[in-house]
Amino acid sequence: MGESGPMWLFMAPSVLVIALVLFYPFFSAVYYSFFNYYLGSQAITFAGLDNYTNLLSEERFWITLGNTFFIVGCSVALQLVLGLALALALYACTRGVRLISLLNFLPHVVTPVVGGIFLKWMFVGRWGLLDATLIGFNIFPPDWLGDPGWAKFTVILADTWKFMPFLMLVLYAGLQAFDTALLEAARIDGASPWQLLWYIILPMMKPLILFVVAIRTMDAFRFFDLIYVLTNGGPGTATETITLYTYQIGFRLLEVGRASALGVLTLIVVAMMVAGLIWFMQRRGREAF
Amino acid sequence: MAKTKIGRRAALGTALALPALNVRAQSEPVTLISHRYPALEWYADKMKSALPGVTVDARLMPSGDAGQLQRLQFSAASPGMDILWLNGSLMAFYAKNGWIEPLDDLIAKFKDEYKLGDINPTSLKGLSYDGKIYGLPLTTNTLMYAYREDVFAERKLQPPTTWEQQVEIAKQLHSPRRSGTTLSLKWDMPPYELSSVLNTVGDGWFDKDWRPIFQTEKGQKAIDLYKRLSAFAVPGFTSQANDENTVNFAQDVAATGQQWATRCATMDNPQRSKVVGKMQWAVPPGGRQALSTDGYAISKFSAKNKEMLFRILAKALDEESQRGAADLATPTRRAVLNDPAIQAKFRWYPAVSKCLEVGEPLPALAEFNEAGELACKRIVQAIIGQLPVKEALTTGAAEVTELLTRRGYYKG
Repeated sequence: MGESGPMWLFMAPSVLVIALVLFYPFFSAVYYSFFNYYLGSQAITFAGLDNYTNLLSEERFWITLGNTFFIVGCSVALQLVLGLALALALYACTRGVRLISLLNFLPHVVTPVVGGIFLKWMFVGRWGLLDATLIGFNIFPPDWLGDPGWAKFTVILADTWKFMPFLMLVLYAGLQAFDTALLEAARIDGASPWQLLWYIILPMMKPLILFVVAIRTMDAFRFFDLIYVLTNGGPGTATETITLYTYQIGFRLLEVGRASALGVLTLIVVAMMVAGLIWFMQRRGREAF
Repeated sequence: MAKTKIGRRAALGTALALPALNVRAQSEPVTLISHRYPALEWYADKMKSALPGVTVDARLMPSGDAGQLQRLQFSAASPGMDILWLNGSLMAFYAKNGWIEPLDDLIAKFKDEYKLGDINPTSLKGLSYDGKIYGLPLTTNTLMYAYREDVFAERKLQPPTTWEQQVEIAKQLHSPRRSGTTLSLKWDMPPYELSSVLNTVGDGWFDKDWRPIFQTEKGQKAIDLYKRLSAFAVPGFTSQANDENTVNFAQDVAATGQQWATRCATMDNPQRSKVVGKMQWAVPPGGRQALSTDGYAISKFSAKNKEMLFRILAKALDEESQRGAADLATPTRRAVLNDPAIQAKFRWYPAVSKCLEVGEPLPALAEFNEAGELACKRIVQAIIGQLPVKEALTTGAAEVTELLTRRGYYKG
């Protein structure tokens, strides 16, 4: 008891900062979600659960939730496959690893909005870099940003370009920690490269893979800036994710109460998903993978 | 002894620093949040040198971003924004909420000093709400029908007088390398882009009681027509606004389309355009296209001296300044607008005059930005085929009705 006093004293600054930047906004959002709060009006009236029930009965809420799951799922899967492939390629490389990994990591360093603008000028119809180049060869590409299907594909590609380097670097770091004797032993036993990958490397990397997938999934659920710059959720609602819809309600329609309710609903969905992933990881951990 | 030395140094330092601190407080920059197009860049520069010793920090960005940033500043009652660009639609919303200063008294006080009586009354009306003036107008902007004169001459075509004709022309001129038309359906653009077709083929946006009418049978016909037109548009039109639209024309990838008067000068700028001297302008099919009076206003929450802020605006919009910007935006001062030399110098001015005669501002509904956002989301879904036209429009109308009910309309 005597020792816990100074310990609390040391923790106080961080607790204060966390309370200010995390708990205060969080509890404010929960509080406002029970009110009709429109920024253009002075009156704030109690609405009970109306904001929640209205949102849950809206078709657009479910469409944006579906879009979010689709974009996040495809994007994280693509990032994992490419990131793992590149990490393995780097692992196999004997020269220039640092330079290659540095170049690969550059997109991740670029500010998302700047990256978004850069990608926009690549994908924009007819005079964008991609279109102009392909048209030069008499190939007329699809409407990257204007067709609902292609727009989804483009934002998935954009997110992959931005975040795949993160996965690559983490997985490469994991590979570096490998006991090479295992690989050598398997090679002596006549294992092919595919067998090495499937029976040695992947099983040993499973915990790390699950970890980066969990982190990226949570992060990708908040996917906003690149979509905002590239398509602004369009065409129509084709690439509108739940964060973009929250932004629209909060910052375009100025309805703080409804936006807060949507924020709380998003939090619940993400929390459930993360709890599922943790449960899955712990279960697999008990199986000693 | 040492203590005395430090005390003296501290006192001397403080004494020296005080005037500097005071000067710093006085010279705190005036912040402008504005949309960005060439004329606004010009006026922002003029503001920077409008008053000696007053620094203006001009933050220029696309209109959607500017409007959003302004709303955030206002809703937080922030003194971080002193003056702002706005259009008639934003003005109505801000004025209704009491976020901007009425300028009538300041206009009366500085009328002679800045010759404010010369400003076109129509333009002043465009920035008035509930009988009060809330902005100093810099231009009354209009959408125009822009087309490739050389291509039209080659095909012996005339500018269309109906939207059906425009669909036919766009179809005729469409090729893989040059689209028949360019459309702007990104962000805050659709209400402007769709006004002419909704006003001439459809029944318009709202009835006199602010009930939506864009979903009527005629409205459905109008949007169906636009959907057919979009087949001949430059790809990616749902993610394109004014900037992209201007590049589409300037880079020779579109033959026709609607274009704001403020973008005409770029077409003849050899550094930015491949079509110098090849563009021509006319009234959009059937007219009744969107007009927008753009101007500057003063934030109610600014801590700066309001007279000083008004003087910056008035100086930036004086006759000399408007003469310099005459190629970038239709001037609001009659002395400049009616000057025969200016009329002759800029070849798009005759078309601008005709467009101003037949255009219409967006509905004078304070909540039009919000209502338009909801309606246009559904309309765009109809145009790209995400929803059937009828379903999209009736859903949009229901959402707009619900929004306006929440905002206190339709009582009784």
